[in-house]
Amino acid sequence: MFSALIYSFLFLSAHVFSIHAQEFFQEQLTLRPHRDGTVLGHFAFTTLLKSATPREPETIRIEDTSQHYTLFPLALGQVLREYAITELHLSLNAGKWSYDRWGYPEEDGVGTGAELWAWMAEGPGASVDERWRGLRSNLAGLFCASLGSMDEQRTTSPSLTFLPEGDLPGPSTPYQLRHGTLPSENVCTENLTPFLKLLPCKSLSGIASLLNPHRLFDADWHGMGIHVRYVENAGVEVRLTFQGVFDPVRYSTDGKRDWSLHSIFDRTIQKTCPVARHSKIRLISTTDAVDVSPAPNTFNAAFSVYDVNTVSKPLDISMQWSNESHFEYPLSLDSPPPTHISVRRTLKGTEQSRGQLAIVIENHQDKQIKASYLETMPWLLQFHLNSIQVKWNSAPRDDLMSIVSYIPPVPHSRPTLLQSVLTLPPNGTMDLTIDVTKPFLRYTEHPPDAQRGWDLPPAVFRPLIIANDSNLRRLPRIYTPILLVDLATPDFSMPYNVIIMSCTLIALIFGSVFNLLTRKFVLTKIPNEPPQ
Amino acid sequence: MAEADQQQPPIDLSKLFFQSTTTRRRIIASYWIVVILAIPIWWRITSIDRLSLPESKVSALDTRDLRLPLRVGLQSNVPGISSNSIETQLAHRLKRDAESHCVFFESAPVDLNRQSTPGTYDVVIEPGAPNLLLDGRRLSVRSQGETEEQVLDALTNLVLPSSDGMEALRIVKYSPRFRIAFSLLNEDATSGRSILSWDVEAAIKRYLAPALEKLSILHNFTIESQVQYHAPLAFRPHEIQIGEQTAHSLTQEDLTVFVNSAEWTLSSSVSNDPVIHFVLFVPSADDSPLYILDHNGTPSSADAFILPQWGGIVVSNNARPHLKVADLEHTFVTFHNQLLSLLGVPSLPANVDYDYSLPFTDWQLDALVRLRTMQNVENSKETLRSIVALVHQIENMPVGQDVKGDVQGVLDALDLVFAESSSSLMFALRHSSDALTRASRAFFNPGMLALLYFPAEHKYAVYTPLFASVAAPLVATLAREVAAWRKTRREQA
Amino acid sequence: MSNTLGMYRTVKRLGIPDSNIILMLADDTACNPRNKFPGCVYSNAARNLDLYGDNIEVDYRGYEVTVENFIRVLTGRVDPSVPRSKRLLTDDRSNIFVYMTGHGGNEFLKFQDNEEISAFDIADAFEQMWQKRRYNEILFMIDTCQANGMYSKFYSPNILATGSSEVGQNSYSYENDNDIGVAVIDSFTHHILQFMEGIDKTSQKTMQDLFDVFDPVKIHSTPGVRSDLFHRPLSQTLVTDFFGGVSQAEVFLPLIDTKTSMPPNGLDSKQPRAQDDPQDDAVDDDSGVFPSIRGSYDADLLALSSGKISLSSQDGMPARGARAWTSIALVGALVVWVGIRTRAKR
Repeated sequence: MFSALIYSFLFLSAHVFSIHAQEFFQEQLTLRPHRDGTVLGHFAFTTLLKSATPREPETIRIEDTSQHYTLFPLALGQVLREYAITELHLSLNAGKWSYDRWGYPEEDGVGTGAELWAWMAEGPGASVDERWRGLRSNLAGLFCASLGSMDEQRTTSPSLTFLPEGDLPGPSTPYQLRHGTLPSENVCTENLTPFLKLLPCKSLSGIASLLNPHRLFDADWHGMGIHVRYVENAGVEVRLTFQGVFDPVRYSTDGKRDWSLHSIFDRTIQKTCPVARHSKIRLISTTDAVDVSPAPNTFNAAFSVYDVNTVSKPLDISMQWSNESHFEYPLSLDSPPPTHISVRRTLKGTEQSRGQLAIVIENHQDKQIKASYLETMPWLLQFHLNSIQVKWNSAPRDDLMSIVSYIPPVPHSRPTLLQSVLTLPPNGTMDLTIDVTKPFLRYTEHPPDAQRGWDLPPAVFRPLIIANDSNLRRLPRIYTPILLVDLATPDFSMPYNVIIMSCTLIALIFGSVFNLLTRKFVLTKIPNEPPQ
Repeated sequence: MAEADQQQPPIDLSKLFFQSTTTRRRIIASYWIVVILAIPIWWRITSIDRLSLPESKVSALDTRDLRLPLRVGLQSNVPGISSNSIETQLAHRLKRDAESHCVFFESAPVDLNRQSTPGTYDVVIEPGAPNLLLDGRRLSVRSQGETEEQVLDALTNLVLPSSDGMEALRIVKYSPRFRIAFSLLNEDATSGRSILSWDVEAAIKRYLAPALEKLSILHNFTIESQVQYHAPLAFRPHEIQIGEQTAHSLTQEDLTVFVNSAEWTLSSSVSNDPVIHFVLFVPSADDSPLYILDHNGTPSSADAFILPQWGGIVVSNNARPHLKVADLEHTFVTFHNQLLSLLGVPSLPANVDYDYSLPFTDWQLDALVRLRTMQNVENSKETLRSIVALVHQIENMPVGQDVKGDVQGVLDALDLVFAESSSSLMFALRHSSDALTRASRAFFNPGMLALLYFPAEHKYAVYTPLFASVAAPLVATLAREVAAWRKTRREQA
Repeated sequence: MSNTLGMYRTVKRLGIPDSNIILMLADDTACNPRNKFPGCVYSNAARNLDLYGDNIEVDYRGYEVTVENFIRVLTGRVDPSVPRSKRLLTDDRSNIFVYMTGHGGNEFLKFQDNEEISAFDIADAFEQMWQKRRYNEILFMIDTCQANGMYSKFYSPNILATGSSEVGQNSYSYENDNDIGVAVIDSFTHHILQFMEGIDKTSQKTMQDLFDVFDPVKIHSTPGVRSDLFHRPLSQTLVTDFFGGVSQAEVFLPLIDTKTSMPPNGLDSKQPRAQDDPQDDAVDDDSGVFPSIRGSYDADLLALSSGKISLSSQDGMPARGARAWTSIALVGALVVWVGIRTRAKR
């Protein structure tokens, strides 16, 4: 061991992260007003570690090279190297993203709660599952989240829906996906604090200085994300994102939807981040007549851009609907709806042992859409696959659901994985129903507090449309809201009742049998014989 | 008919097989046998798995002390200095300290051609201009006259470096692995005075690699570095005037709270190895230049300090956008010295010279290895004793096979240490480190978590409804049967 | 909850880094949709001090706050995959501060709704820590009903313990925030925090000064102090020994000889001089339980630990709270049990 130590002390082989590896950092804020008066704020902080490659799992048992970073977050880099992660996506969201009101989000991952998925190369040394476990617990420590409880009961490998967003190095290397969700995860300041510490300028300068936890967590919807991917010929890229849907109407005293950075975040941008190569604010244009101040550096029909590095500070972008005395909520939803399809998912049935999962999918397009459909259901809800019914505009159609792949659950250990491809003819509604059973839990599997039920992870749809050149184009993933299932809950004084009850029964039975076996029977004469 | 009926003898109930006394007694006996046989099984399945530990071996460790040899060969070519007398005095001096340092002195013949072996030293005294020079594990003394005392002092200090309390507090605890984290911290990079990047990798290679390589006998190092652009202090440095200039200062109290862990993301999260931090701190334009005050309150020329067991900090008042290797020389030489002192490399006696192209001498390394071996052995013994004591003390603490295996492993490793101690210092260190690791692993075995306290009353509460109601008929029948049997016997008698 | 967070804020202010604090919070109070002030937990009804702040790290939260995890953190017997931030990494130079609050009773403290930690468990855990030299000194502070029973079973040396109320007494909250509809802080903790506000990193106040502040009339219960296991006089024990992260620094004089590119024999030229006595960092472990009588928010447990000498580390863990009314019933039942048990013993 000791002779190995001398050699394992590696300075020389650090070609991957050598001093020639350049690092670039850029930040961008996208602001998008919605018709319902809300504003989407989307922060993206991208660090590129140029010409770096993910660690190969073959090397996981030997001492790793030293890691030297200037802009790349060291804490994250350590985790990625330790477990040889090629691609990683973690999102922590709170609230329900309303596709019908807000359209597609800037980041795909908007499922309520925590979602983590990672692509890892297979290799000797440590199995993918071991690394996945280590990754979970380390990210849990890093982001103060309960990701450690995203265990085997919540881990699946839905590789149809969660394709790698970057490249996977090594054409012949086998890769595996691990995906887990924790729909009941809370998101709060303690998750944001470590997130901010990963940024080169923390929340002290540049666009990140707008990240004020008290306002962010007051948003109608908010979510943070960490996305790591490898891009061939570029390097390893880390993108830290924060999205929030803010409601200026709620903040304003006079019921107007006018907003400014200060009114939304309670902060303005005072300083630039000295190491940000680009620092831009993109303001998506609306169709309404609005006054925007200050004047943007560049603009076109779709959006205006502010270059934070050059614009005068403090920067407080504001948007005013000057011909509007107060905001009136639109009575009808956008027509056509902002997304290609809309999905509703409900759990029907009042019984504690069975129910029905119903999914309604509407295709708003004039052309046929194919969509991959994914359910990663903990074993708390078990599907009866034979009961799947698909109806198109209320008429049963068996041909619309294809390529069904199903991994049944194993109670207490493995979740269900149901993937299929749905064909949605133009303009219509599909009804999909599956009967489900709700199992019994073990006594110790119930949560330790007064609970409201079990949150079930969202279903994920990924529509594919045929673009003009007749190629299939993948659209962003669509997450349904999470469900709540109420399982049979015992009276928790039950164990003691059971003990007493069964002891009594046993004692009774034992006593009777024992008595019968050992009782001494004697004859007694009945003195008064009846007369003949 | 009625007559006939009456004539029929009544059924003798005692003749029925299930009414015979023997059968009944057999039935009762079989019940009791089942109960009695069940007791050991019940005892077994409800008790906690507590394997017995090799306690006698652990307590036998108390009587076994580590003894590391110091073989010193002395040769004097100077008339008037007798190597024998030095040897006698040295042996006498070392004997005094042998107990606390676990060493024993052996005299060895001088052999200038032998391979340098840890623990074996040659001292050659020759005429010449007074000088003490270390070369490998050899001490060359040049002298013209009476230097016995001087040589003795130097030798004693070399083989058994004295350490004061401060030093003991400063040195990090032994661990087979360390992470060394270099951080370039800008107090506020937007203020205009900042260092945005540094050639840290080349600097480490140039200034620290030799020392780290030499120390790799003791520890395995993982290196990492990062740069931060916003690392505010938790306090405002005091403003002072130096001549015309306004400067800022850090008092001794400020130094103790200098590290602002809330804002500086320093801790490394991925492993549980101890981390030694080295920080190059660049004060913002508002706070620079930043000086450290000595205890008289005047600015000192020092720009670096150590936080014991934590790491070292250098304050840089010399900001430029990029630091090249040459610019980092001063910083990294300071880090180098801080590293040695944090890892416990003993200092040399004042008047001894050595080849400055080496990070430190083999004499220092050996002394450190001896110290660490001794500490590891002591700690392993101590941990074993604690495990045994706790297992006795806390009755519901489980002891599994892996704990037992680890305890046995520690004992084996310690045996090896004792066996190797006289032949190879490096092997002794390796085994002592192994013993320490296994001892902590045994102690911190997650399976050793004592079950939550469950009062005996609760157990009775659970068992009573069953056992009381079942036991009542059993006992009652037994008593009745015993009474009947005694009665029959008495009647028979 | 604000009990624990108040302590968390205090130890952090006094210089103990988050990495040395293990904070266990059983509830997501700050970002719960029912909280009118998102991301905020206030220390009093006047809402002038937000304890949650912008910079908080919760190590154990929600269902992770269990008796088992708490004991594992204390004794160090955690699973190998547990990340560094969730471990208590202390040694024989560390001072540990353990603060617990929540719903309690005679010799127990409730975690969540379904388990409780008993005085025996904590006493044994401390003994295991002592055997492994995981601490130098421990300050144990507990604010629950009948809190003082909790430390009555300790037997390991160098533990200083204080509790908010005697066995048989309730511990009361300081005030209610009618906007949120809960009691915000307990009297005992409130008065300690008030005292702490007057302390900075270099304060010379002693533990005796702290204990002198206890006023049964103001606190509405009789706080207790147990110092028989503690071997230093209280009047010479600085509060910052436990609550602060004071370390000592050694100044390096500049090197005289930098001519060679290789480091010179730096150990000679380095002259360590440290002025102040080695001070210890405090480690705090707090688990907070709100008094069950007042239906305050849920119970929390905070454990903070910090290493000594070098910058200490603390870890805090909040305990998860129990719905007050359920807990009243449970507490009642348990109190009866405990009562019977103690009587049986005498």
